[in-house]
Amino acid sequence: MKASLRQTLLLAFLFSLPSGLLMGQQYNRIRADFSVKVKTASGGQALTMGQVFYDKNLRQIIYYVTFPEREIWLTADTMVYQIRNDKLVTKTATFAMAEFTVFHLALNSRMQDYGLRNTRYTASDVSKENDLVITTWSPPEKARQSLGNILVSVKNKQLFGVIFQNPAGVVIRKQFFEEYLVSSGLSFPGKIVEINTIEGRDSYQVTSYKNIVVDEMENDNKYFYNISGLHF
Amino acid sequence: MLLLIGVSKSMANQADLFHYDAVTVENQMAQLNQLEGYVMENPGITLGEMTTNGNALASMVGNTNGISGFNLTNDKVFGIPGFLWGCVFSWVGVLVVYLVGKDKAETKSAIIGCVVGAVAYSAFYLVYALALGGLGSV
Repeated sequence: MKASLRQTLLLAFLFSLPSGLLMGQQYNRIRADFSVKVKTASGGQALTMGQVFYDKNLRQIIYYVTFPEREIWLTADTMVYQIRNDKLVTKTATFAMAEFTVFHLALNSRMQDYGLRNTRYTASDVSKENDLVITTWSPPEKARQSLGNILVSVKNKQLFGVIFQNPAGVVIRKQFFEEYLVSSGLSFPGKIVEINTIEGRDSYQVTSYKNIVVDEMENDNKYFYNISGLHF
Repeated sequence: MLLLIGVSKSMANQADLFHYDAVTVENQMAQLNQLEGYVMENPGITLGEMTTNGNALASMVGNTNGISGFNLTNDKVFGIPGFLWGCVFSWVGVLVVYLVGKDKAETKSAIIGCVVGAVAYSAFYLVYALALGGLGSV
């Protein structure tokens, strides 16, 4: 009887797991060449290029930036570090949010909900229009005065677009995930286009990923940075 | 979680939101694409070296890299509350709030926004783990 109850609880536990854990293959590591291009509404431009490494078990996202200058951007625990020539340039308090990045979500086959399932947002509507399945995610009741809905669309079982609205329903930000690449069975967007609209003026950001490598056995030292010896 | 499945009239045009003018984006990125191409053809080159060499392409951009490139604008976190940045935009969001907003309250709310979700999620599995562990020891 006890064994039966235990099995029932175990089954309930398994069915309560995020769908990706049950349905998608699990991966541990990803690295890619990246470029981030920013064009602001005021005309400002920025380009960043380099390589990014992430091991979901180590929870460090490490950007080895080669342009505009050689430096490392690293997020670990609750801090973001900017490192140049092995010396700390800036250290910014933040929150460990590797779980919400495209790297972590992709490795866990959880891109489709964009990590929203792990937040206080709730899916308030699901619709199918043409080839898009659109889920509307609503913020907690108490936050609806300051936060709007987030619409997530999936196309061919891949995350396609994310629309951010203000509480009045006005679109303030759009993200599009395009040119998916497949590496070792892992599907990853090769291009992310972001459009931010402020007072009717748009700013643009295009992030590109190339040469994606999944679960490589080499370059262990690239996936972990020993921050204990860092100093200004 | 309450999941309402259906297609309402107001939702009928949601798909239209998922469009953007790709040509406009490409035009906006034209100079940066040119610069990116040059850097790819000259691996390892830095903006400082390009400036020293008098390369005209160097004048296109500032020395701020794109990871924190949002601080090119003076707009306060694009009008998006810190909570949202923290929950959805990962560390970049909090960084942007911190760098652009310079508003401790916004940063704090971003962090709290994430903690709430993470704690709730973790607590859920902790209960299950304890329940399973407890039954196993009986």
